[in-house]
Amino acid sequence: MNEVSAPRRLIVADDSTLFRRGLCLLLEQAGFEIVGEADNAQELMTRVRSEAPDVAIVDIKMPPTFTDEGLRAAAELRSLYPDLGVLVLSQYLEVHYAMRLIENQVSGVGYLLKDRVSAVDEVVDAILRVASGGSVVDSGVVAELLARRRTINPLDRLTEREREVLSLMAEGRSNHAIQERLFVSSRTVETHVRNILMKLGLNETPDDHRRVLAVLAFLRS
Amino acid sequence: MSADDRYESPSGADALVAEPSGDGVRWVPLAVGLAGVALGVVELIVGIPRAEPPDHLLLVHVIVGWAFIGSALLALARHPDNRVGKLLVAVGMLWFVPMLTFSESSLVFSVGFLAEGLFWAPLAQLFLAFPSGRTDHRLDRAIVVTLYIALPLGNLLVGLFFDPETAGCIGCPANVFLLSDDPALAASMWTVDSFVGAVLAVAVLVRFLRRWRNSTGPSRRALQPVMWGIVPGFLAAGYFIISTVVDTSPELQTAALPLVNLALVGLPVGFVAGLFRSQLDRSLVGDLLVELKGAIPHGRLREALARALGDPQLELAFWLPESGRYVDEQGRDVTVPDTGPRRATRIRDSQRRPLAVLVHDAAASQDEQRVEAVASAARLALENERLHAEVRAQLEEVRASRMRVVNAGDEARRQLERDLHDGAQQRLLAISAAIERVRTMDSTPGRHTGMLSEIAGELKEALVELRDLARGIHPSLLTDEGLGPAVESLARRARVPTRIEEAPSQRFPSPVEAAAYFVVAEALANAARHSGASEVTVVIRADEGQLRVRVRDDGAGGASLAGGSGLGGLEDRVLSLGGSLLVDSPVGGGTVVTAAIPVPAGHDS
Repeated sequence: MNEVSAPRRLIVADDSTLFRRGLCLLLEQAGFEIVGEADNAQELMTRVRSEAPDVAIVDIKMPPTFTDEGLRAAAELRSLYPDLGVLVLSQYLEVHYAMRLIENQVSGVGYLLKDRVSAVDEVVDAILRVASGGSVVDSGVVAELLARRRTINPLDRLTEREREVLSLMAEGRSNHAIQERLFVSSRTVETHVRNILMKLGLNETPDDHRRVLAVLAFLRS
Repeated sequence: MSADDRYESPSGADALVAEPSGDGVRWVPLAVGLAGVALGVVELIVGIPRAEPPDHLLLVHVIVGWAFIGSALLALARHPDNRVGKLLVAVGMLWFVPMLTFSESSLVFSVGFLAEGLFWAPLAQLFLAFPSGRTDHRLDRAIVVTLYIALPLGNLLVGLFFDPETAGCIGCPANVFLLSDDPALAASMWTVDSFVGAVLAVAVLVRFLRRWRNSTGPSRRALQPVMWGIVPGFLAAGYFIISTVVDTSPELQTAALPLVNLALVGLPVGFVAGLFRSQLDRSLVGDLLVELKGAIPHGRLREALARALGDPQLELAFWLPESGRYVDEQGRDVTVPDTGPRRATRIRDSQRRPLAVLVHDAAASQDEQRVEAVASAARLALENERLHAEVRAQLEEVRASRMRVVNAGDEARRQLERDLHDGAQQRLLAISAAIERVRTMDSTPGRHTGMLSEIAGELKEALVELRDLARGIHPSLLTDEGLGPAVESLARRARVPTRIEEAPSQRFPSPVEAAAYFVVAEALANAARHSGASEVTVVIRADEGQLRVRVRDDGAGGASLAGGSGLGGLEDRVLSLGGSLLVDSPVGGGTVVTAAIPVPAGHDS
């Protein structure tokens, strides 16, 4: 899987040196090139400008206020550099943060829990997806949305397989990615997607990012 | 005759005194004073040429009359509404009336004759009604009434058979009441009259001594000078009697007579002294107010009031609205007297509801304004006491709340320690042991992989536990994004399906947000834990300077702030912000938790 071709230049911003160094080593081992490190948003902006990386990996909370610097930096980076992918790493399993990040971007952003570093494949996958302009929503966040208890649950109308597909859609995966994940044909995936959208009363959209947004908004409501 | 009118119409004076107009009150003592002086002067002018020797007897007589008038003026000035002053006026006036016998007109002479010794009636009334001016006992009233009838009647009976001419009064005018001149009958009438008079006098004396003996407090202080005042009279009378018995020489008798008269001066002096002595000290009321200004120790109010009224026997009884009775500080029933030696002054609160009653010495009633002042002070103190009690209760509640907050904090720390110890710490220990095993293990590649994925799994679990723990302590979302997103997140994770119907998007001061958040969190936890609810709805609305939170479930109900439901801790949090928390949870009727949290003015959301 380490067939990292074009997107391999990364910048990592995190104020925790221990975590940042560990992550850098892990990603280097996975075949990426770390072209810069930063421990705050300001430095991140400078490094991105000088190094022009493929993807910036940003901690959600950084100095000085440790609130939403990461989210704001991500939005700024995306508007300044349309080709740059931004992956926000967070220790918070909160739909709100993920939505805030995704909502304002056209694409190329991702929200991933820091826990995922224990499975480097997931991190690499997310990096590649944001680099190619896709959207990434952490599977834990999606799981929480799907697990939500409702008095009248429209998700009850979905089959087990459809729920599986829905959750992959919510994570920001394309039909092609879903097809690969579930070892099914592209036709099958398309049928599932169509059925899901119909059952949930959502409009079909050719744009993957819009599809993520629509699905997430539906799950959240 | 104007002097006649004046004394004949004490009711007129009464009316003038009763009138609140200051003019009337000033006018009466002036008129009484002038009349008294005039009467004395007239008596001297008309008396001296025709008085029997010794001449100074007349002077002594006038002096005694003036003494009564003077004491009456003092009493009226000090206590215009007390009957003592009027009675002293009556005594003084009646004292002078017999000088009408100096007149050459038969009618005037006869009236003067009839008025002889009449002053004893108001004087006896004074003895029996002093110092309040009202007789307490039926027997006393009977004696006084009898005197008012017997004295003129006795004079009349004597007068029917008494011809002054025959009695040796040369140039005396004719007695208009004369029926038939019968000196013997007149003498026996005189004897009967004297006997009745003596009996009544003894009765008055006995009753007075009895009152004096039984008196306490202000009454005793009032009666004591009167007691001293009658002593000279007794001594003089004793001397007179002894001198008459031992030596019947007219010289000695005529010498003793002015002495007896002079001794009567002791009476008005005694009354006035008694009146002034029993009077409440103005400064005592002032002292009382000063004393009541500070928080008076509970149960010490009665003592303070007793001091101010100079009445150690003072009772303070509190009104019990539930049972409609008065009880003292020990909760014993208190009967409220209407008459008798003890009088009641009722104290009402600002809404005119009964609050308490002061049962005090009747003597204090002579100074109603002072009693009113003390009663007002008592009212202030009692209302103050009530406020104090409220504050104490609030303070007690604050102390208890503080204690609960501390206990809740301690409990939260204990729980946190347990969670960390049983969860993340155990996992990290297991991980460190596993790593050590990997380190010391032979380098078979497959074995490392298995161990390492085991370690990774443990780490993942530890992270999840730590994250949940951190979120439970204080949600980062609440701090960063505010109440709306934070309760949305709560609702998503809730075990009972939860709908946020309304949540404000603006920000509030963090204690307000935290309180509202934890109200929702605890209500949701409560619904999940106990109620078996199938749905929870949450409404959070900001209006009128308040943040209102309502969490409603359709569960079993029966939740309360008191139980260990965790709602109790919330109440302290909400109360500390000046808000209120209400749990309406009828058994079987679901639970509605409502909180209203004030948002400080000027807060820009």
